[in-house]
Amino acid sequence: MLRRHSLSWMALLVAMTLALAACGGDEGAEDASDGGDDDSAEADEEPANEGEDDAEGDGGGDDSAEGDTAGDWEPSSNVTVTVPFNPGGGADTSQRTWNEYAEPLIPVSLNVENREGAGGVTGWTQMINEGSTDGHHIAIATPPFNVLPKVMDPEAVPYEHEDFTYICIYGVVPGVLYVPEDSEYEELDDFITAAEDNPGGLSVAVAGQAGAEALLTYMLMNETGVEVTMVPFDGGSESVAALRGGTTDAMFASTNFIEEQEGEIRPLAIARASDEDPEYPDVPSFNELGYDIVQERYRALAGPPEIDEAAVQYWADICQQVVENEEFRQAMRDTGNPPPGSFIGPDESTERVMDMVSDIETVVEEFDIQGD
Amino acid sequence: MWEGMLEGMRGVLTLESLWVLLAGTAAGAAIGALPGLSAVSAVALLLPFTFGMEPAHGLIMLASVYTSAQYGGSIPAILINTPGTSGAAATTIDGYPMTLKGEAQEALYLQLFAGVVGGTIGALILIFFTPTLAAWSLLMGPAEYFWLAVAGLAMVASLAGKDILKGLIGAGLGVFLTVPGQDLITGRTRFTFDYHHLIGGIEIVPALLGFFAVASVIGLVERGDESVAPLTPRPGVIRYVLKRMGRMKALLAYTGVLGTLVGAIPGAGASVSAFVAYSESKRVSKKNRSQFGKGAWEGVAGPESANNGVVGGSIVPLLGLGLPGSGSAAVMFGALTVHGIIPGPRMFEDRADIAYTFMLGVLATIPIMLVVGLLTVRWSSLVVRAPLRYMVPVILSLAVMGTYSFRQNTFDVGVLIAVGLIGYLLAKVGIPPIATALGLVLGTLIEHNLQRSVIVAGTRDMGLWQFFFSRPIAIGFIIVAAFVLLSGIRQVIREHSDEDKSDAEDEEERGAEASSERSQE
Repeated sequence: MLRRHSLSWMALLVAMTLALAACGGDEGAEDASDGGDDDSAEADEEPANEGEDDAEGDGGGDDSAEGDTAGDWEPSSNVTVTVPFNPGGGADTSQRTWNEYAEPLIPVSLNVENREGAGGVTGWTQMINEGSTDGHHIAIATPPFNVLPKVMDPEAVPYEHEDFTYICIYGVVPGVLYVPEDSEYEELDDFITAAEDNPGGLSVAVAGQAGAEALLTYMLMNETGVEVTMVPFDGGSESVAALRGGTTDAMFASTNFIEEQEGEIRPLAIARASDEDPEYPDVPSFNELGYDIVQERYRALAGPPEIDEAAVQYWADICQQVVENEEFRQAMRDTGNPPPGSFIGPDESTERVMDMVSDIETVVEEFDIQGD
Repeated sequence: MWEGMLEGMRGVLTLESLWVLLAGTAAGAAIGALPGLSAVSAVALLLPFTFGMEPAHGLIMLASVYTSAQYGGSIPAILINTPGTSGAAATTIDGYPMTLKGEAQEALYLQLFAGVVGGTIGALILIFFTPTLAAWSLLMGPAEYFWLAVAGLAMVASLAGKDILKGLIGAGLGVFLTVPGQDLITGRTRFTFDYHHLIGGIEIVPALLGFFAVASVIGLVERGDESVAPLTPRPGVIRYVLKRMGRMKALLAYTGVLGTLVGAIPGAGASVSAFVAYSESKRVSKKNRSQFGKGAWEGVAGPESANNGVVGGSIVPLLGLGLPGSGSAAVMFGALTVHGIIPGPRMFEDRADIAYTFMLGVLATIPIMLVVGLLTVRWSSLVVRAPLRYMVPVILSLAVMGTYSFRQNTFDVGVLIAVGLIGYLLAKVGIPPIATALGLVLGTLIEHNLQRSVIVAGTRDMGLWQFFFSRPIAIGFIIVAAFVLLSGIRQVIREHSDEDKSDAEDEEERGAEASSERSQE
């Protein structure tokens, strides 16, 4: 008898899935709204807030007439947020965290579109070339990863550095040099001395093909004059596995492993730009130790090249509120993506990225790692 | 640990958990069964739903999606020679021939029960052996990965049937397809023709779909039959399948463990473990060996047990090392970090309740998957009776949709069609597309790890072979690779000589007949 009605059972199961999905979605939105309401700037946003709880549940664009906010522009339909990487990864998690704290502040929903490919180039190309310019399409950009491919292989990458309209930088992730917990190198100088005595004999795991960590390694060699050998892996986790398994002596990776792999690997130095009130105060910076090595990865919000100026202003304001929200800051820290000390808006973001581009171009030229 | 288990059981046996398990299993099986939407896509698709849930429930849901996606993916593999997930690729080799013989229902039940066995083994190993297995997996370095992949490629020898040369050519072609893209060491792009889509290389999902779905659809059209296959439903089929499976107990256990172990190796993946299991199944099935490729039951049971064992195995590095070892595990990793939980052994101190609920949830998925499976076999097998003039466009549309949904990229669809045509032509020449698929799956592993081995050997002032032989596990894999290649060659020689022998017998008979005819005259 069970079998005869098997089709109905299947329909029932599918219906339950949908029901569960609906419940799951609502819970998340409620939590987010509560967090947002407490901390967001009062005066401007109060009227718009009332429309939100309804908007969250249906996911529909709510054209609240109460939108008398500071700027002239406001999204009137759901906004697409392109994440050019797979779900669950660092960039994806950062953007979803940002979305969680931004949604209570706006009258519509933020829809993440994961468009993975070619190390992010596919998703960025699509946003730049096809994204609507009315402010309803934004993306996460993660310099240096969106500028490196262009520097290395300008013919193959169909966008220019100037095509990104940077809105803000909401995460600053410096590179870190790690060694295994039981490594003989207690301090950075131990490592450098050992490299001096053994040119090319020390191996450093780096993630990705000629990526950010590779550049960092070149910078290290340039600044200290020692020679180490890079061993490229497919990602941060693979590098950690290689380090812990004894394949390499050290590794360059981003900051999330400081907490995630505590007790198994430890950081020797961090490549942050400023030592004023830093995240991870226990980790000395290369600067503090006497080496001018800075490399920070950014979690940035960006729009297509022709995006409306009013929209940029709007998103920058939202971004500022999110970045100054203490709960958001803690959430970002928990995922290993610390927020910047103070808000970095459109102009400063663009400046920082352009500086980064010229730094990269210098290193690439010096070490002659240009692509074909 | 036992208190943790009790906690975990309490966490799993709540109404909400069971609800989540049911939903996840149904969704996962459905998504996995759609060609082009892999197990990772299934898990990733449902990730956002978990953000509003309790972390433990979110994880259980993802685990059940992953498990049932591996199960669901094999359904189209068996029925229409189109794997729904890459872990089902090896199931097509004997599963589809079973369908063609009218045994579609037997194949589906076999696949379900084998998956139950493998999944249970994987979950149990996860629960009891995570720390040891995790520590062991750390020992895998570039040398070990390289030789493991080479051993995998050597299995082509057993897959290719009589013509090893063609099989090796096919595998070589598959490896060559992994060349376009960025070089690991220099970052320079190869064969991209300034086409930015090729910077990341040819993606596996569209390529595999092309080989299987598109190529076999062309074959179906060529055959001009009315439907895919006859369906001769057998009364008491479940009991029949279970009885025959009783003779395969050892094989099921062996391939289940194999699948779990390979799954625990970061980066190996379900397809690798399924192929390894297939090759091993063929090697140890002395009686039935000649039937492999024509619908041997062991050829379905082995890979299916393995690809469900992979689920438990791939969670081992996540909980034991704090490192995601596969795409799906990476999604689960994200599900944890979003809740502010740091995955890894520390979970057993800080949030043991979540860790144990998760692990027991993986085990709890199995009976639910069994129920869902039992309900679907009947009507899904009817697909093979559907007229081809409906099936062909449906399969093609599913393949195209699945490919596009992977990352919304029309280039991938182009790859799908191009590879499909290539696969069809290769099959015409006698090069089994499965060999090319294997090369494609293993190519990057082989190249990257050889490159890394060279670099690391250099830092230790060793020659490459010196480096390989300095690592005991690598030596083990070298031996396995040599063994697999040799036994594959031996099988082929035996098959040839069996042929010669039977040819000779036929000649004798004819000679005897001729002489008896003469004597009668």
